Amino acid sequence: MMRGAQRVQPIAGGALLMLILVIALAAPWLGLRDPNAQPDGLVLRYLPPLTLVDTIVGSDGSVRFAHEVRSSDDGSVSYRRGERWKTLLATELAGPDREQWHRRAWFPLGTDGLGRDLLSRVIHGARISLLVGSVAAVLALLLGTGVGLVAGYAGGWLDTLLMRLTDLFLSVPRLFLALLLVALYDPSIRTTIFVLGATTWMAAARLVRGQILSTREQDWVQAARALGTPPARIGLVHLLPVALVPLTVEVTLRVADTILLEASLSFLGLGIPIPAPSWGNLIADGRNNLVDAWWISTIPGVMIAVTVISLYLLGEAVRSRLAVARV
Amino acid sequence: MSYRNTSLLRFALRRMATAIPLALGVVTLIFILMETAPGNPADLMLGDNPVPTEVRERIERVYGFDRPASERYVRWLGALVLRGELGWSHSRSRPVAELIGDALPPTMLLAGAALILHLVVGILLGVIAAARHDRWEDRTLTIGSVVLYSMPTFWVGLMAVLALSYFAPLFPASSMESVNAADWSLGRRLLDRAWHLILPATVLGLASAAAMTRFMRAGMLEALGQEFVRAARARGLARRRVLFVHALRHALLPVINLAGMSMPVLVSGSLVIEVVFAWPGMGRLTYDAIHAQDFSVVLAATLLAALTVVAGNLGADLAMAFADPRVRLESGGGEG
Repeated sequence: MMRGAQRVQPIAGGALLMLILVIALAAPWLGLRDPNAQPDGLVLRYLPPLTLVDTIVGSDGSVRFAHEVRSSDDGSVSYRRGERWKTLLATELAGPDREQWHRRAWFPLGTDGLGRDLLSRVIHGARISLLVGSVAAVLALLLGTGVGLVAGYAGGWLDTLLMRLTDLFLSVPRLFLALLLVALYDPSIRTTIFVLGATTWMAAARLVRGQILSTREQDWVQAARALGTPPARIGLVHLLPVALVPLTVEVTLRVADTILLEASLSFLGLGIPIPAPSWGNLIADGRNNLVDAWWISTIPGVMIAVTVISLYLLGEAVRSRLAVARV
Repeated sequence: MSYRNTSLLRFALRRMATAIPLALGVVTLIFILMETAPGNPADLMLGDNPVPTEVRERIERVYGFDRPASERYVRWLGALVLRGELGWSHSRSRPVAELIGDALPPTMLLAGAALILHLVVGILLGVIAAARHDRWEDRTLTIGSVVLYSMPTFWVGLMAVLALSYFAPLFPASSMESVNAADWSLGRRLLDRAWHLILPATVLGLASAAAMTRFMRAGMLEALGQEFVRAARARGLARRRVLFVHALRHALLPVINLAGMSMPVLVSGSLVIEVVFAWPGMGRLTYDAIHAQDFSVVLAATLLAALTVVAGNLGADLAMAFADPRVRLESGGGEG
């Protein structure tokens, strides 16, 4: 790869990821609409991105969405929702001036079939997808590190047993394994995290085991052993930190992996239960009206791709910094 | 020649012998997963259908759910291995083996076409990227493969449908053949099939070709730096000949391994792609079965998927041993 790209990559990957993370974390304070609210199923149904909608503010502070608004000389306002016209008297409005009762609601990413704001859903979806992806990845790494550490350090029959188990898990295609597990347990966010973790730990286990095998004969480990250090302490204090270095790269790859797998599971209707707006759910939802409302599926997919790419870029950058050999 | 054959045969037998415990292990793993799940198997079989207690008890007796797990395991395994029994699909009221018999050929068609595409496109693009190292072709391919690799396969499928079935209606959006295909002549039907196959196979093949391209590029770059390639160039051989005959041959060997390792990706990918394109194969069958809580079908499909992976690895190893004598000698312990 080019020199210039090597300098730009970590910055681009890191910055992009930070941006997504900050937006996701700050979602409750961004003044977004409720991601699950369906304020007007008629006017707000399938609005394309960048749509402005006329709204009328009532004297009680209520907001009405309208397809069309006409004001008359007597101060009353008529508005149309679908085929129907309705009239609001001057007293029912927030004030006599147009600026006081008229607002324009902006839907930057449009809405879905139930009139839910997609910008809000995509951002809240980032929270869910990133949370599920990172917790599952951490779970997978803990599990994998545990298995790899024990296998690599204990050796013998335990090593053989654990590595055969790893081979077994690698032999069942992950999506099938995940589907089987989800089908057995009830779908929920917790189940999804557990299933994702239980089906992605194998790479970490192999990585840690390999790392342990190559370091356990090093001088400082031998010295510790000669000093009579208990095996558990040697494993955790002397061997594990060395194995953790390549794991930092593994983290970014696993988070990317679990985000993609979560999306697949949710798309198949077996991931995060609806109406939670995980990105996979949003894509699945958009499939119902792909032709007339292309934006519903398109935008969350782009978000997944951007997130995964930034994770890969970050992982590559960390890898080249640490000069870790390609696994 | 006979020496070569016996050592290859020995390697093949030994390698197959390790695949059998692995396959058995997969079967056992799946059984254990089922056993440790909450709820009893009768509930899973019955789903949400309300049934009287006597019926439930009868099902438990007939299927042996009231027996200890170890006994059930032996019976289940015995039926599976000895009689190839896969159970009964209660949602379709047919034997699972029959359902799979119907669903397997379409999946093999789809996955086979995708595999060919994966190999051809992946290898070709990898060679191009390496040949045009550090130039715009290489950069475009590198960025393109990372981007493609980062997108969920099913979403790429949806976007392909959107772009090439609706906005530019070139290919059918779903199914394996046209509605009235049954009345057509054989030739026309085959063309119709191919036409329906293009979009899903391309999406599935390209998704995994991205990894192959990156892999091939690295292999080719390594090969191009080797002495024998430089020697070939120094002898004044045509650039294309050096690239496609000398370097490619060297870089192709590890590809066999990668092709074997890409089986899980292909199998998982075909599941979602079949759902997107309403392709009547194993993925679609599994998807429907999960939503119908038809557990025996899900189980059989998972087993089959896992065995495909085991067979894929086995096949890759055997092909490796055939192509590269060092492989069979290495694990042969230097005998013969």
